[in-house]
Amino acid sequence: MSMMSFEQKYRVRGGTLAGGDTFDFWLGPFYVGLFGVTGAISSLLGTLLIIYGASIGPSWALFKISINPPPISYGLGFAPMREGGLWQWITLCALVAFVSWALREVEICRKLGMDLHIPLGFGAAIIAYFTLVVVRPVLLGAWGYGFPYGIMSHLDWVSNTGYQYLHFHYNPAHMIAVTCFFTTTFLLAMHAGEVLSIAHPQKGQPVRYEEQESIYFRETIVYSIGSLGIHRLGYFLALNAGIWSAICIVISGPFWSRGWPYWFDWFLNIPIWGPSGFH
Amino acid sequence: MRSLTAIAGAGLLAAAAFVLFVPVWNTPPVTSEEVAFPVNTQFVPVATRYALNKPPPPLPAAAQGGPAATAVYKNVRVLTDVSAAEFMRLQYAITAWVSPKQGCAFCHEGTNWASDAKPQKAVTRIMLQMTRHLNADWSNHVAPAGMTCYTCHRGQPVPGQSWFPDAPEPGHMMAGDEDNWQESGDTVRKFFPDDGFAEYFLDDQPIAVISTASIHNGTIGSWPEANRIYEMMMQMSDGIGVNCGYCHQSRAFQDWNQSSPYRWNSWWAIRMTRDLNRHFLLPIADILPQSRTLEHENRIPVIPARMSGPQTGEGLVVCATCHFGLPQPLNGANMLKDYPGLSRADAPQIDPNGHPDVAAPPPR
Repeated sequence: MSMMSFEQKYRVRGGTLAGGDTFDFWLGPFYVGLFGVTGAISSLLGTLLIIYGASIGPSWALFKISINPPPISYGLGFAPMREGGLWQWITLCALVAFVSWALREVEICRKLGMDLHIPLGFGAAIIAYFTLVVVRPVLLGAWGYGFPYGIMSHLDWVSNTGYQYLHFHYNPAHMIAVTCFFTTTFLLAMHAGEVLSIAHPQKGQPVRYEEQESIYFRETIVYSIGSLGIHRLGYFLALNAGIWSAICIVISGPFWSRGWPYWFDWFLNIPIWGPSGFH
Repeated sequence: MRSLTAIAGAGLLAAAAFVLFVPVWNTPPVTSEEVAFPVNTQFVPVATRYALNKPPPPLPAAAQGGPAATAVYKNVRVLTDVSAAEFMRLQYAITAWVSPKQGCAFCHEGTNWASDAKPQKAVTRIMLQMTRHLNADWSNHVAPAGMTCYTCHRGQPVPGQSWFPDAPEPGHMMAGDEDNWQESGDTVRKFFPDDGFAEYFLDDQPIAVISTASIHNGTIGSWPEANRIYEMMMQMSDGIGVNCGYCHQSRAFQDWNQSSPYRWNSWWAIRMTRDLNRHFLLPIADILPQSRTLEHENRIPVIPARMSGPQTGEGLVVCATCHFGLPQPLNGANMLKDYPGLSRADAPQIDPNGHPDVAAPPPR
């Protein structure tokens, strides 16, 4: 791909976190950097391990391929390759690849003189994954608590893990996470609609800008958070969605091993009701 | 604005402290059992449930041999195959398990041991027959630990985890719901209606509501039926301290091919419970109607202050009646081996799929 005329000035030297100038170059349109190299190696290795796992598995059917974590009996130790060892190495590759990608984002931000909102946003997603496959299994004492890597098998894991707590929607942190997920997508849709409608005026009308957007929302809901503020709010909600997802799964098991509906028994047991409970 | 921030911050801190300290959280390490690899695990129930399930030490063994109980004591009708020494040892054990405060006089009239004057004695005979029937004929569910009076009674004349069918309460239905919701309890599950238990633990209502077709083809059950099955299954889950995945694959609850072997235990248990309720617990209701009081402790039945509460009827068997919150009652302790009189050798096999003669509606 050819470089656009204005792109030259953004391709500046320096800003790397590690590796000095060694990997400070572009491959076509892509900035490489040390973390581009580690990310490429780990993602390629991880993908090949998944393909190897599929090849020794029972089926090549895409929906049936599953890389399972080791049985609980292996605890936090290494497992043989065919009994979850593959899952352990693939998990390591995935984490190296994700973190490499985030650090490569950091380097590009530094080259462009930007703040670090993008890698931090991606970091919230990495934290959720890290919690799911490392923090919670370590707290529970076995890698077997991680989820299997497969299209159907990971859905089964989600379903069964939910039913371990009888009704996962009663998990208070899950409630917050779901609320943040839906609200941030809802706000993104509204914001996108607002921007597009401003940019596509009715026939004969000029294209308007920020002030018109704010007027629209003041007319509809009295208040406009502003064109920068809507992104702050969306970012805040999106980060919270990832972080509360991590919280909701890490408390499930290590800190609450019963059904989540019973968590709300505190409501019945606070000492303001009658002697036989809530009336 | 600054004071607003301070108030919001204080509110958040208070909410965080509440969430941290008011609910009863557990802390790692948490032990668990792998039910079905790789997607089903079962957390081991909390320690308080083990505390509820400690078996008492066995009484000293009776002398070997000696005359038969029928030769020494009058009016022995059930324990006809034990020695007199073992018979008397069992009498002491039953007193300790069932009526430790009330003593022998709970069933016997004074010192006239042969008298059948008290209805409790007739009930005890039925209960002994039930226990021997269980240990001999329901090995599919109770072997190898077996069960004794203590499995359910735990020192109380009326087992504390019995199910008492509710009297209908017209006009008191919560939020206008047609189901008979409970209106008090110390845990959310206690609020569930339990009227539906009768369909599964007394009647032979099939426990099947999930459609196996992708589009509703008229074969699935009704919405209230799904509710009742859910309530019955939650009773089971809470009563034996397991989650859904202990028996089921949540992708296809109905599919036996994807279920864990534990589901067989439960399948037999449901048939066993029907047998017990029809053939032993309902006949007791005619002899000795029980009641429970709603005052203060609504789950503890009271004897002999009968008929004192609004919910009358006979206590029936559900999962929790024996299990007390663990997958194995008394955590699997085998008390039966110390009391051979509580089983019998001549065990006719019963047909679990047969329709027994008694299929009475639930007592109201």
